[in-house]
Amino acid sequence: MQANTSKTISLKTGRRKPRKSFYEHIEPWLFMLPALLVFAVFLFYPLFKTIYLSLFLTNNVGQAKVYYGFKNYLDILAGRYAASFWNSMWVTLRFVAIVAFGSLLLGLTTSLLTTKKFPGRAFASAIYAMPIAIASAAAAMSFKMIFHPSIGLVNRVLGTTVNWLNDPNWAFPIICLISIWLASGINFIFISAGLRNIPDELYESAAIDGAGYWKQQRHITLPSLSPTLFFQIIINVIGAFQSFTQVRLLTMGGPNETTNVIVYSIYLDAFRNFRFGSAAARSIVLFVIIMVITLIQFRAERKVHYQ
Amino acid sequence: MSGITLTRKHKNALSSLLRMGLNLPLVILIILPLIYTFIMSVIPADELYTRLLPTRWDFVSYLNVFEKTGIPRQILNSFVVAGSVTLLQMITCSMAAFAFSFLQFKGRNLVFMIILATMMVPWEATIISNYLTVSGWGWLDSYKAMILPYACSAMGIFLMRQNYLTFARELHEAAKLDGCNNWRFLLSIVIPLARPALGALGAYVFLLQWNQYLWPLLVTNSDKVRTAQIGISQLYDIDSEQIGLMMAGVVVVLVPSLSIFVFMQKQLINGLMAGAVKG
Amino acid sequence: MKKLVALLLVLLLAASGLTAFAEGDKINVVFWYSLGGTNADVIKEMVGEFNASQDKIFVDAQYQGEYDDAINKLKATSMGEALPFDIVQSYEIGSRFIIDSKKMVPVQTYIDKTGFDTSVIEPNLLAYYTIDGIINSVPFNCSTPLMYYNKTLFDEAGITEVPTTVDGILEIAPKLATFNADGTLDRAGFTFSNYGWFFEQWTGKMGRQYVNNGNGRESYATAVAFDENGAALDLFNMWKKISESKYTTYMERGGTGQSRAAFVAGKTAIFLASTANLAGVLANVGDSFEVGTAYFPYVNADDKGGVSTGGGTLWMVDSGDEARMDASWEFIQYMINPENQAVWNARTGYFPINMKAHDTEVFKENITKFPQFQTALDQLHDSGPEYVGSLLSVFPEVRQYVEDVTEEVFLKGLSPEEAVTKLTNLANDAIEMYNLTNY
Repeated sequence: MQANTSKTISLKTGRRKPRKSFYEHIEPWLFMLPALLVFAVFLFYPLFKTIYLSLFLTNNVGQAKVYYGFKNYLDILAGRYAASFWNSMWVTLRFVAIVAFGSLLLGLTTSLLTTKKFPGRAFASAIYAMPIAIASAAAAMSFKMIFHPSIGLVNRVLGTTVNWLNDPNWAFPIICLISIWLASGINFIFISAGLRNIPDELYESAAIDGAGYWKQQRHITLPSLSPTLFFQIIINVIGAFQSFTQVRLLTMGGPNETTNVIVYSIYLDAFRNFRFGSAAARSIVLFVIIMVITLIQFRAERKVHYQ
Repeated sequence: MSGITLTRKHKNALSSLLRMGLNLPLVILIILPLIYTFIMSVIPADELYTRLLPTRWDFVSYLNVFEKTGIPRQILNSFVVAGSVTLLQMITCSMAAFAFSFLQFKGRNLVFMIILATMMVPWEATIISNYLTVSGWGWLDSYKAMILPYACSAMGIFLMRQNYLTFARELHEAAKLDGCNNWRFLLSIVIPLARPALGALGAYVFLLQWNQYLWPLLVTNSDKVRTAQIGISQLYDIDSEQIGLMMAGVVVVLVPSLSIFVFMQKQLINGLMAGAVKG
Repeated sequence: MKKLVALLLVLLLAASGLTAFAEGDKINVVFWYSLGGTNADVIKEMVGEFNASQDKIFVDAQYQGEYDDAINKLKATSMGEALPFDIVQSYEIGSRFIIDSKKMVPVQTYIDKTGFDTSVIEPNLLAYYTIDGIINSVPFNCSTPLMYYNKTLFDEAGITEVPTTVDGILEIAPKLATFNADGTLDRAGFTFSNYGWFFEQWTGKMGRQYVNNGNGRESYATAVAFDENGAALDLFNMWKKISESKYTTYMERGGTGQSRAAFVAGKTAIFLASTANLAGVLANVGDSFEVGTAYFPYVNADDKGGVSTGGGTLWMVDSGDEARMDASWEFIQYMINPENQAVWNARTGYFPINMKAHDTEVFKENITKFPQFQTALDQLHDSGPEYVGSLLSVFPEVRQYVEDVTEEVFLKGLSPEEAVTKLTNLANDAIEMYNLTNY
């Protein structure tokens, strides 16, 4: 009671500095304690441990055995694993770009198509958002059958016998396709939200001025949506960088390493070859890259931005 | 006069039809994999290699899923893990978000930024060490190994904070004047007001956890604690009985998450949208 | 909302209750296995019968995914103190690694302890798992690779002699393949999956070694041998020839599942796979056509060599718990007794490791009905024990490299010479790194 009174007085007169009790000092931290604990143990500590591991060679059960300095990094950037690493880099960057923009485009299209009423709109909206509830493992198994060479849907319908997932020309596009399908749900949800916030009057006055549908989209929708779209692209990029399940279950990084995204190569190095040191080095490189890309995106957003 | 009205009505009807027509192919495209999965789960074994659409539906695969596989137990495990994580996140995120929105303290913005930054750390950078940590503690093949690392999330804190910021500051002042301490304030006033956001967060986290694959794969060994996603991925084997089994397994595992989606759809979408707009 | 929270709390409570999983006073033996599909059903049945037949021991059989996944699990759990299992089934190529882990007790100890008569086990199989005169693990589901062919199609095409070499297959392929109107392949004459196991088997069929130091048996391997002895070059030349044939297509890697599905669907006339697929293939094909089996083909016409066993073996963990280890041995003996091996053979295609199984009714009946099962056995007996396969610590990893490089030869036109260099470098690299940190 005392403390409250003194604070109230100071707010009104601005004279005395409020004295916080010890408890008041630590109270916020008590509220944050569980969160901080979880992050400390399962996020910050492992991050530093990974950096530590990346400087060692590990034995067949994963213990750090031989100090290796920065050679792990050298090996993957310029040494014996470089070709494979840079291939993974290239595959990943293409994958992330295609999936981030592809799912954005799909989400944008489905959002635009459901802004105005029509019979069945609720059903269509539900379907467009549904992929958010589909696990990538479940989707992977479904698509495995769809693209099965002998009895899959695609070959049945097209009458071909192409072995899609084992064809170096098709494996990558198909993995991109599946990832876009999976991410379309959340894109639809967020972009619809953004669209809903654009006042109708803007469109009405544009229509009165004689602007057609596409002109309206260009001059009203896209600018108004741009914060949403920027935010969504960042989410998509982060998500795409983390795509793992589809690759593991359908192509295992192949054929010819055409789908060997960095995430998968880290998994292989750590959990198949048990070279934790080298895998740790790859993770750190990936981490740095994601940070750089995200920072660039934030910078770009700040420049282009806000009406 | 009547002539013009008719034309507008016609115009509306035509646009509706046009919209239906444009939406139809997309809807079909998106729902197609699910429909196909269901069809493959009920096509009888003798038609599997010869026909695309079945002439009759054979539900034996579903029986096999429940009798021959570990899937029922794995679904239970998924529920336990996803449910626990959801509960824990609702608690920890509410608490932390409260500190960021209602309480003043030194370093508040810095800590918040750091927590946001964790959203950008790819799990690849931590999964190896987390695995070593967890196995060093002997936690392998247990529920806690799958639950505790996810007991809190930056996304959750962010969402709840966004929500709390929409509440009037006066509420807090009024409560303090009434002698209400912060804990009671959080529990009896803030949380009930934040119910829609909590609901959205809960649904979203549940779905995310239900769909987890790599982490449970690494830390579980037995069907006792293995989760459903791992289970269906282990069903692959190209044997005519197995394909039906595999597809039935996928359907069975999809039912819970799809149900949550259908029932919580409004809450989930509204909650996520509210978070997105402010972001 | 409140209801949701209540439900979640109930689940949490239930969960804590569920984690207690004791089975009373029985000795609990945890058995990790890696077979899936219908073969797994047989394992589960056999385990069930064992549990039902006595009440001293309870065997908890846990599926660990494919062999590759299982061995990763094994590596992962090796980092902890106690291994969470008592018996593990692993593939043959995991042997060196498992021995290096020093966590297993060689079954020789228990063979001696209980006076088990090893003369009933097929000598070739025993030889694979015997190192320095000690039997380390018990062969359980053993197989050799076979050539499966569509006998009905052979008859229709007028083919009377089943080819014994890859060239022979290439010769008859045109008579078996069919094409669509637009010129694309409809039914392949043959399909070889890009399976690393085949590379190893062909090396043996050429009578050559995979790695140095006596194929990894005299002492641990330090480098591969298939570059110097030309085996790799011969094989990549073979793959190049195959990739240029228009009567076949690239199927898959890491297994034979899709080739098998194509065969059953009538989309290929010949395919290679382990004998473990036989029972399944016969069941799937049913009456659509007659299935024939033949020896795995030679690469060159003048090759002198044999196949080595594939499949899996059972290892016993050195847990220090006498009771559990005795119980594990009892269970293992049960799984390899004649009756069970006969049933195992009939229902899967893996051949019986216990020669006494040949005398059982189940076996004799099955052979009469499906003589195709005899081929694998004959092939095993015709291969001398000197063609027993190699031991290599990083075998699983090297097998992946073999598949990677073969893929490039087939699909990217990598020249066989470059392929040999690439594979040798990758493999030797892995071996070097392993030896550096483990020996």
